[in-house]
Amino acid sequence: MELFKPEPGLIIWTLLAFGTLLVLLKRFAFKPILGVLEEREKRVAQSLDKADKTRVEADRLLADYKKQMKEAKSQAQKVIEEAKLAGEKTKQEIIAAANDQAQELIDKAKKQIDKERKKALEEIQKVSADLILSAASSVIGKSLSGQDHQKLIEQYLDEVKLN
Amino acid sequence: MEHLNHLIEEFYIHPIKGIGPWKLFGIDMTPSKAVIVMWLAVILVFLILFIASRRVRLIPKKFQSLIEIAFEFVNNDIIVTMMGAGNANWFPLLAALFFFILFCNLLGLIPFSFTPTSSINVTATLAIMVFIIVQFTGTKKHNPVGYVKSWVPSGIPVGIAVIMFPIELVSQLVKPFSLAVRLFANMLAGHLVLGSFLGLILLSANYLIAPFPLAGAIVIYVLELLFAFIQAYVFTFLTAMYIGDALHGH
Amino acid sequence: MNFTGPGIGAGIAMGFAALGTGLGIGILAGKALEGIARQPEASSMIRTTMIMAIVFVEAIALYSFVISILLWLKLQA
Repeated sequence: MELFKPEPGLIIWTLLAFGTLLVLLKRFAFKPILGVLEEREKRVAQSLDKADKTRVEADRLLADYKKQMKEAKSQAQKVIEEAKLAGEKTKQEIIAAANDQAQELIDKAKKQIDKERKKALEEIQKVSADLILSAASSVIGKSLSGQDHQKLIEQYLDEVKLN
Repeated sequence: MEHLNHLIEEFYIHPIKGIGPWKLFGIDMTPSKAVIVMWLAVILVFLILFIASRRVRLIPKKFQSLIEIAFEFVNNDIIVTMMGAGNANWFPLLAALFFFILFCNLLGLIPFSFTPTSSINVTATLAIMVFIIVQFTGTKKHNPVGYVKSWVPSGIPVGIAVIMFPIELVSQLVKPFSLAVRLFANMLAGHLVLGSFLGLILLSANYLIAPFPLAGAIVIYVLELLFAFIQAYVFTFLTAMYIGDALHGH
Repeated sequence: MNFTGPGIGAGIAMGFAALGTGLGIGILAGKALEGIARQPEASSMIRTTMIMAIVFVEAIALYSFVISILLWLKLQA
């Protein structure tokens, strides 16, 4: 039964040893270590908080930038579109003006030609009438009345015109 | 038979020969091996934690990390789980208890040493100390009547409360007993099994057979290392649980 | 003096204690593993509870061990 024999000495020694350890640890060892643990916990919480805030800020900035970028892009697109439109318009205008001018030139030339031709025809008419009159009077040797002359000549000329 | 006798005798408390009988109020205080190992444990724990505490850094090195893991373990896994947050003032007692028992267990694993926690005197002393602390805490937190009332759940019929009260009383008294016997018997049984395996080596006295008990002894030794930690944890854990029960009631 | 009584008693006590505790801890660990497999995120809590329960089961074997030791020592006396 010696295994279960109460040993007052050992009991007192146990209490002494544990008590000493408790007092020594409490006095010298626990505070600094617990302090640093607590401080680290605080720091970690702070940094996490800060990181969270920074992340939110960054997200906001990113969204801002994206929005600005989109706006700038659409604006540029608009400018290009406008420029294209303006260019197209100018082109059309230039072409139209050129066409007009050419038409005008052609018309003018045509008119001139017409006028010249008319003039030339008139000249030919006049000259040929005189020629024919003189030639006829000389060939026939007899004069006709002025009215007969005129009638004959016009008839002839109409024939020539028809040709 | 003879061999097992010797094995058990290894766990008897003997005053160390050569040191004169120390007397204190008629009590024999001559240190035994258990006392020496116990003080060794105290010195070791104190030195380790003291050195760790002298150069604490916010960004820990290896040694400090190890100590911090132990501290966080006591704080989170024992105090917060069993007593709830806001009980940091119990940390010194529970941490000291944990480290003391752990180092007593570990030092006992060194050959030719002695395991203080394999003596019922040591474990019973610690357990009764815990019991007194628990009862004191309970009476201080509630008044004595309120503390006794907190044993039985509030709002149950008087008849059942009357039946439950003796059961709770017995359970209160059994707690230190189970605490003491658990630690003591674990350590004693572990070392007895270890000793039996080593005894089998001697008993076999044969190079062909001896490796088997040796392998068994090594396995048990590793298991005992694990048990040194688990038993220290369990003792502290149960202490925290009892104190938490005394604080919050059932 | 007849030594057989306490000796057999001690052996039987320890044997049954080992049987019961082995079964108990086996069932406990098995159920705990099932729990961990079903809910891996709760594994740390399950492990703590399992160790606690094992400790209580084991304590019963240890009581029986103490009884055996007492019988053994009685046998010596």
